[in-house]
Amino acid sequence: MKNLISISFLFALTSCSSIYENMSLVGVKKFEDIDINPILSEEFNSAVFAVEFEVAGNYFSGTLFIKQTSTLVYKSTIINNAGMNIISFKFDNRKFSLISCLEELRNKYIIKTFEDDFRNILYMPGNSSLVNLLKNEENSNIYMITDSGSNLYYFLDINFNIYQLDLVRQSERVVSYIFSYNINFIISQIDINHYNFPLDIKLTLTKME
Amino acid sequence: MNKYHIIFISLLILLNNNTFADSLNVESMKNVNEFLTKVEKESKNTLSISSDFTQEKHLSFISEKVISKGKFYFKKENLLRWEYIEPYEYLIVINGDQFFIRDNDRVISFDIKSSKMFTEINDIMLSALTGDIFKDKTKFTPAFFETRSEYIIKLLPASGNMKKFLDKIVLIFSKVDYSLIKLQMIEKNGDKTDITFSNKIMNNEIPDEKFNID
Repeated sequence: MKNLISISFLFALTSCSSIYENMSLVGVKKFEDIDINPILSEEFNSAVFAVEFEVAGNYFSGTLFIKQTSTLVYKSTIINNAGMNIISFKFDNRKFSLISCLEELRNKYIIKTFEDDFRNILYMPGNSSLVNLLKNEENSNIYMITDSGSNLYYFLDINFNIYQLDLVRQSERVVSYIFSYNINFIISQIDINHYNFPLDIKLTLTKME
Repeated sequence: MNKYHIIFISLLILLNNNTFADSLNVESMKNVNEFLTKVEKESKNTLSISSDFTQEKHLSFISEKVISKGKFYFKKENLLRWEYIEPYEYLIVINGDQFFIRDNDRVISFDIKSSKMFTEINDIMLSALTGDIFKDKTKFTPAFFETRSEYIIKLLPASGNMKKFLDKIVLIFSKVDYSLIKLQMIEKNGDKTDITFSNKIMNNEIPDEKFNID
């Protein structure tokens, strides 16, 4: 059984890493010199998403509210369909603070996962970051940025919108963010899939101002 | 039309609204003991309640409010059913110590005592319906007010978990039948939840199956 687990793990590691190894490096640039649209428009004032997520067997659905209270300062709350607060948090220039949280979610790994996910959605990497420009077999533009020991792979469409963001740590894909856009290139859906933690989140935009 | 005309016309419209006029005439309750006796008597005579409800959730940091509508059922001693119909179907059933949630065809059940928050909310709801909420002074400090058509009771959390996140609860009772017509919860962070009950039917037959989730 132990061998089987080890083999499965090795297989998963190999199959995962091959996705990123088949990419070819075509250049290196500074972040401010690349063409890339932020996931959420930097000008947005507030956004409302229908939200569904399942964590450790507990299913939640409700509404996510995000408000940009000043430049790059965001306040956010998720309420369930009965109006109860599930989690409230704030980002002030990437610095996270938890405001309140349902007892069932009060676990440091769950909170840290929420923190990392929403930071990756709300903020682009720092301007000083160096970006590896990559191409894969489909000739897609992929930008890879190394940040705190992790590699962030931004997959771009022809309009320079990010349609997928993968976070890879030690050649292992940790999380994938899949983005869908409407005809006006405004984000319409975000699917967050974790590969080493039982938390998947689906966000569907209902309103943005 | 200048801005002063707009303000004047707006004020006229608001003053014609009974609720607003009433809210200007809030005064301390003249006879608290009589009110408490009447609420207790009515709650003793109430075996069940069926009602429509409208819930408005206001978040302090965003102008958006979430309005939900549904059906509410209560049956003595401790059976509650909150059936959210709009904008999403969502069901909460409290049957004794068991708490059930049906959300998108998924059912979650747990022992109500396992969650402090649900225990507190359940206690508030049941004690507001039975009138017991005014008796236990260790949990809430009540302040009694009235208008021409309503009794208004403001409850300030006195201790415990509630005091950490709840600023106050406001209960509005009808002067006609002493039943609860509105419940307002104001949280410390400024978020507010209003639940308004309408089309109430008292003491109708509600089958026990309403308080089970299959």
